Amino acid sequence: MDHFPSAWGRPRNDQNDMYNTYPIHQRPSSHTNTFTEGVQRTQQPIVTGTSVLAIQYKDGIMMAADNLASYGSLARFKDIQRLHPVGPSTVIGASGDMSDFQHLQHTLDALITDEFTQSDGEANALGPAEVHEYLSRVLYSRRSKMDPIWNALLVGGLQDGKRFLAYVDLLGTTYSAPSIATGYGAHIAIPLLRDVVDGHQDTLTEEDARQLLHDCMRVLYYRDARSLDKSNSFTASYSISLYQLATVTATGVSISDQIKLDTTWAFAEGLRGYGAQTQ
Amino acid sequence: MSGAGARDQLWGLCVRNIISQGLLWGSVGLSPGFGTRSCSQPVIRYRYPGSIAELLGVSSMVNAYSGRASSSNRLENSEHPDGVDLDAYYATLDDSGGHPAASFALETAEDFRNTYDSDNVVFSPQGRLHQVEYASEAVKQGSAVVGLRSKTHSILLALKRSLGELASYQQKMYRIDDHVGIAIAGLTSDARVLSNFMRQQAMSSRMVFNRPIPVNRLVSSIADKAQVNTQEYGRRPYGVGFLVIGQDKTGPHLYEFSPSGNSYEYYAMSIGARSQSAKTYLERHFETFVDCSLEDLIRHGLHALRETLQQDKELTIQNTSIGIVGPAGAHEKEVPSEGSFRILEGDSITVYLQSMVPKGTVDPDPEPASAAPAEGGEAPPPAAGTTADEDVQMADQ
Repeated sequence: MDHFPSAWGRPRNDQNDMYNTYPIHQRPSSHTNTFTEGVQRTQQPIVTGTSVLAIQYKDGIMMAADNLASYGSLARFKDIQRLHPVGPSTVIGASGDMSDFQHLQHTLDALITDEFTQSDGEANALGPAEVHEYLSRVLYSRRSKMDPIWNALLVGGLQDGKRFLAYVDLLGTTYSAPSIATGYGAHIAIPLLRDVVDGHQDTLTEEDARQLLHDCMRVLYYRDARSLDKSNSFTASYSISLYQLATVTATGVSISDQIKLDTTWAFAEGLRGYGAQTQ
Repeated sequence: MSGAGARDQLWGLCVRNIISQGLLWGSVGLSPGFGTRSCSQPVIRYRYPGSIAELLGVSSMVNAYSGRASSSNRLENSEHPDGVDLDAYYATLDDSGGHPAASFALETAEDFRNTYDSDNVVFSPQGRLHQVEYASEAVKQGSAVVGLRSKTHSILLALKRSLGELASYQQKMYRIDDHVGIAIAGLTSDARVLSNFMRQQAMSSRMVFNRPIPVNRLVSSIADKAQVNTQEYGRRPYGVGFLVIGQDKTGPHLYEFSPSGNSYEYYAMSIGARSQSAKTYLERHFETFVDCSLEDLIRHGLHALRETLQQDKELTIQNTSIGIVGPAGAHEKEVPSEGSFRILEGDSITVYLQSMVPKGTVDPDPEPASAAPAEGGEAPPPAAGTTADEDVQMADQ
């Protein structure tokens, strides 16, 4: 029988004999207890971003992400840019933990600066394929240390006239496709994107690409819940009606200003319990 | 180590005292005796030039102390035995335009080389690091290596040495990555360590960025590594020089790496023993290399390498190796489409050795045929190259 309540529920440490009064049993200190160390390394995302969508089209890559960073079920920061240019011809979009994304932004900016100091011109500049490989190595090695960078990232760009679009996430999983989405977008938006884009990347015009992403962002705003059952709050993700679009073409990377989504909620009037009904 | 340093400082004091006395008395001579120079007996020969006329008499001394850090300066002096290089003299005057600085009194750095060459971290008065220069001497002890490039290919040719009949020939070429190869001259052990480092850098680039490392970055990385050894106390410079060939997005390249930590890109270059002869050949012909086919490029390289041979030696399939990066040549089989670096040795180079023009006929500055045949139109010996034909001026009848 263990007479010392402070040790109940904790792993047994046979270095201390708990049936002797001398030395006095002490709670094992945290710097020697590997169990508590393990607990410290396991993470959960705190401030999170929701889906990112990206497609290949005739002139290059187009990527969309809204401007919300949620704090659990609270729509906390409404002006966050989740798209980031890397070098002359690559853009990355991140969903998941926003502090980890900021860390990645700093790391990539430092990498680009180091490349600049090599002073060997545009021929050896880092393109989207190199950035993607670098990110996948970093994310996989962190996952292997049980200390993941909690993001799902899309990497897109143009290299030697060829389009590049790929996905990499906190586990180090990578894949490449003509249309990709993270988070809820993977379930809701991908069928819509694949219908239009896959097989037609070379003929899809910029106007049609913009319209497609706009429609998908609207669907996500409707469906990527604003109100959620509280018991499911740790899987909650929210969208807001403002998003940004990034395009990578032969002229370079450009990230647009905020685009407002037009939505209609008038149907709610006709539903009992919703809208401004008195009855 | 500290003992030697203390001794050097002592000698420094002695030298200064002697000079200050010399200023008063004129010339001071201390003979070393026995014909050999050692650290313990520096020779000071000093004159105080009172006029230009006297200066002209000591012109060789002035030239020797030119304050310029290149050893080739000595060659220039021998080319002008009767001339005086006054610029060197003026360079030694201090800012007031008055008498030369006392250090001018020292004959040459050579005599005091020993004082300034024991540590890597000590400059000589001429601003030279003698240890680094001695490391370059180690490179000159290795057998010759030649590198040259065209628009499409870069090649290396190396002369392999063997210790004797029973020994194999020392390997001179290493493959660093699919797109980069090196040839070495100097200490083989240092070469192995550096080439291993290069391989690690190349592999790292492929793993982290999924791309072959740009060749200039690879060469810069070993240049920076070698520079550390020229600046930190207690470390010795690497005693090996490389010629590095590679191809990347910007085409084929050739680089030279030296123990000083300098690396330069070249159209053609040679290092190792008697490499100056090869460089002379390359200087004459390099402008034609750009558009050469692979076979012609190899032929030029073999001619250059042949220049470095000693009197009775010749290039054979045992002592020659050729490294190529670029598309497959006419005589090659099974070369990957990317034109990966490959080393040709043994029987596969017979065809290239046979393509060489016999020695003595490839001569860009042939003398006019003074012994012109009496009959007009007699052809030169059939083995002569076209160069000799064009330059030969038949005497008028």
